[in-house]
Amino acid sequence: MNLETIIGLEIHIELKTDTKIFSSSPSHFGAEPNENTNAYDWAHPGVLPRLNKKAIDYGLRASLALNMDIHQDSWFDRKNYYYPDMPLGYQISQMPYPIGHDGYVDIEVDGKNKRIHIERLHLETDAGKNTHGNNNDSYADLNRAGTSLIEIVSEPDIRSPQEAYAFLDKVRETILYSGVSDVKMQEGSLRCDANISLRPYGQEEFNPKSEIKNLNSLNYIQKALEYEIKRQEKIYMTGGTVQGGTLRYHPDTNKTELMRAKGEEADYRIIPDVDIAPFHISDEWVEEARKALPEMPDVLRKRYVEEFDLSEYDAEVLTANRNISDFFDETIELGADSKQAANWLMGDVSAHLNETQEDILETNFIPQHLADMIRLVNDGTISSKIAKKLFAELMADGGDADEVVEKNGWKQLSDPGQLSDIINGILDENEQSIEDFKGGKDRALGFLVGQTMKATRGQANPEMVNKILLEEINKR
Amino acid sequence: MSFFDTNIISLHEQLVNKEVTAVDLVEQAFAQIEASDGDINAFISTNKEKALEQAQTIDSEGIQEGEYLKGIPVAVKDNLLIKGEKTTAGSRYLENYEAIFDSTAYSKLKEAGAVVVGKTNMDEFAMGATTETSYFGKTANPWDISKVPGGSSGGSAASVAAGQVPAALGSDTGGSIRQPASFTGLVGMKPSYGLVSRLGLIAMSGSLDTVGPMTRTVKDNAIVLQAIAGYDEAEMTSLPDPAADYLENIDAGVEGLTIGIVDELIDHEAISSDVKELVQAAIETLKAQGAQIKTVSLPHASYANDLYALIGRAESFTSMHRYDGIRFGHRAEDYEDLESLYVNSRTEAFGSETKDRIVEGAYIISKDRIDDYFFKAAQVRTLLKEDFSKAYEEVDVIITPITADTAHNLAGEREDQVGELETALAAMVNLTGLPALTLPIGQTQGLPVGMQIIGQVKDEARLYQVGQAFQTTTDHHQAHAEMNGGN
Repeated sequence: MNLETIIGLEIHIELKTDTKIFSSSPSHFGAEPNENTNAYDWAHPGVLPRLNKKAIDYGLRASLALNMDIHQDSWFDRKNYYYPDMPLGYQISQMPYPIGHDGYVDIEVDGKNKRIHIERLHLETDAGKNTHGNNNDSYADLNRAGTSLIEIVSEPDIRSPQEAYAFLDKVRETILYSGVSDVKMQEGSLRCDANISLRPYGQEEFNPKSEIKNLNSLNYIQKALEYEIKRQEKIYMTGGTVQGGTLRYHPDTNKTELMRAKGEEADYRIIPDVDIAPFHISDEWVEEARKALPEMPDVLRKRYVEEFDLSEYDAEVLTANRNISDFFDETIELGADSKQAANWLMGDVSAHLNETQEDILETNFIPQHLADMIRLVNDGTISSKIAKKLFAELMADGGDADEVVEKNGWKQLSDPGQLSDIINGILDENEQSIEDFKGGKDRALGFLVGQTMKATRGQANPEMVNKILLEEINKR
Repeated sequence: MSFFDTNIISLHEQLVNKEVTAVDLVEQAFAQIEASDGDINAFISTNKEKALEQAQTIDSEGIQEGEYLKGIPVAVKDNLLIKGEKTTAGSRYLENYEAIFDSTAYSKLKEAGAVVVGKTNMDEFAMGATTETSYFGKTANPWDISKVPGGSSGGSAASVAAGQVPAALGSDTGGSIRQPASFTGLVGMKPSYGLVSRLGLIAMSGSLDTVGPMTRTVKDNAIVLQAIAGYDEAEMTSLPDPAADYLENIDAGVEGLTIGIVDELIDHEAISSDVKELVQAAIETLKAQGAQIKTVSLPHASYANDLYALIGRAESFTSMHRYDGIRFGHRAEDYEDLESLYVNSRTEAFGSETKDRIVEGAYIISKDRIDDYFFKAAQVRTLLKEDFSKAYEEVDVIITPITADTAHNLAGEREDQVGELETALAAMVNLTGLPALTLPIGQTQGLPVGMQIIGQVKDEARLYQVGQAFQTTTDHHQAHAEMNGGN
């Protein structure tokens, strides 16, 4: 029996709104437990929600970035169930009318292009976090409770773990570029559940599916799906049937484990949340959001290769982070050479950021600096060796590149008259070396160059020194 | 002195002229509370010390003309939060719950200078129509302490009717201000949905809940509503724009107004003949003053009882979810795991009416029934709104009875047909978001009877105008219960 794999992903992404979706509490990561909470977050009696318009705007932008149609009139619903990390006893979500619907992204696996359709994108509240202490007590941290999430649900178009990986990565990259989330998997701002089933090729209906919960890294997703495919295959091959249900993936053992069998799903009793007024997104709002979207990475990469003649690899590296590709674009706009700019960004800049674990926006280094540095090297004002020192200084303290060069006396000595005087003085004192060079010992020239550099404290333009030395020797 | 013989405007004049002080009024309120609350149990909690302190401050500041509520003692239903004070909603679950912020309605009262003397008894979480489901004991009707005061704002009604305070705040989800006002001879206003902020009102059913005043006269009612009404940016369903001026045209009379009457709601077989006669007489009174009377039709009004039961319970089900024993309020001492912590906490702390409604709500919106029950009800609710819109093309206000009969005995019951009609009369107003004023129109067998005037959204001023016209030529609002200490 030859089995086809059917996969659909549900991706939860935290939006980077400053405050929660229905409360004025801050929503940033890393605060003390329950620091970012107020009466609303604790669901005290008498509290009322206030919709954060930014969350709608971000949901809209994410939907447009994923090529979705928009429900311009929608509302929020209550999805009722109990859990200590969800104080209201219901999650606020959008059930019948998600803000985005019917979208897609294109992925590439093994050189083949494929379109994966997306069923819906809706806004909803995140839950807090429960931890279990050694003393048998459990603790709820409500900092994350009520922060704004989008849930993206793919159609069951995915046919392999590699495609699942590529799809998730593409969604991650698209959301990152749309500017609505940092999508940091390690901070839990992107989480994924996968639905998977197998069926014989040619069979139209789907077999019961397993839902694998909380896959929090790209690698886990691929591994968990690979494991689950083998597990289901084995069942079908031995004449059994897969029951379906909710599974949990354990990365340490690389196995899935049953959490809930099929049929035990809760009835969420979903009704509209009447405390939250229905919202309308005007045509103008949609257009503004569309305009606010930057070029998406695949478009950017194509442009980098075609327009700037960069390699596919370079284009890939530059677009892995939107702040880097923005930096690159701005540097080019300031007139810098694209290849040199790319080399700096992928070389010294990226090495520095890796070392300090900073984002480029957190540093003092700005596109003007890079453009200036490249100009100063190209017009011979500074040597490429000095350029590295200049980079270190600008990265550390900022400032104006030309002024820094001036202040440190880093300008190269390129004046032929001045250099000739110095060189003739050196030649006068080193008759033997001239003899040696003329006798065929090339090394002698190196010695003379060294002496010149020494005399100019390294600031002489090496190319000029070579040229003038040869001229002056020939004159003698 | 007695609050029976006076009203807020004349108390205000006496305060401005320094004939009485705010402290005197608070003392008077507590004297009456001490004399009568043993009989009627209107309050869950009082705060005499705080009230006196506030009154002293007001007396030392002085009261300017037009600051009508400054120095006036007021009672507040115990589902409106007052920061640092117990707010129970009549439930054991919140027996020791101290509010951590002020309800907007209370903040506004306080800003206007009203002195809150205490929190009044109510059906648990406002689920009931008799104030008998309260964890803190039943409240009795001051007109006859063997009768119920109605509910769920029964404590507020009883307090004003017993002359303890000149005004009280109640809440109205399906008649909870208007029915007790009718049972105790008071003026009750259920404002347009969104006119008075719900922030800090312990929710029952979010799309139906409103906060409003209960007073002895129409003018007093307008004064209190003026203080608490207006846009609140903290509430997404708040009506935009400031509230209208309710006193400006209150004495304009009814000449030229068209009053709609709905035959099937007056001639309904469940309504007692005495009530029918009183309502007809009241309509005649307004007609005599120049109002036009026109018959209109509300074909879907007969479904209002069912719609209220379905939508109200569904919404209550979800608003009650936060009471899980985890963060505040009652927590069971005995539990084995998370599930039993939830179950035991709620089982111990909720009364049977509350439990019934939660279970019914869960049933109504369960997966297999939600379309037939909940969403169907939502559709019919739209039809009911259209009924009213059509009627208001022809008339300015609509008059209906509010109760089919007078208050019944404590621990007694109303016949099903009577209860259903009364729920429909009251709840059709909540379901459509309209404002409605009820006011006393007479008595039968020593108990007061009320009538309901329904307006269009934000047309409270017109309702007061009609109510004031009625009270100017009648004296039903001057009748009062014979209470201990009050006469």
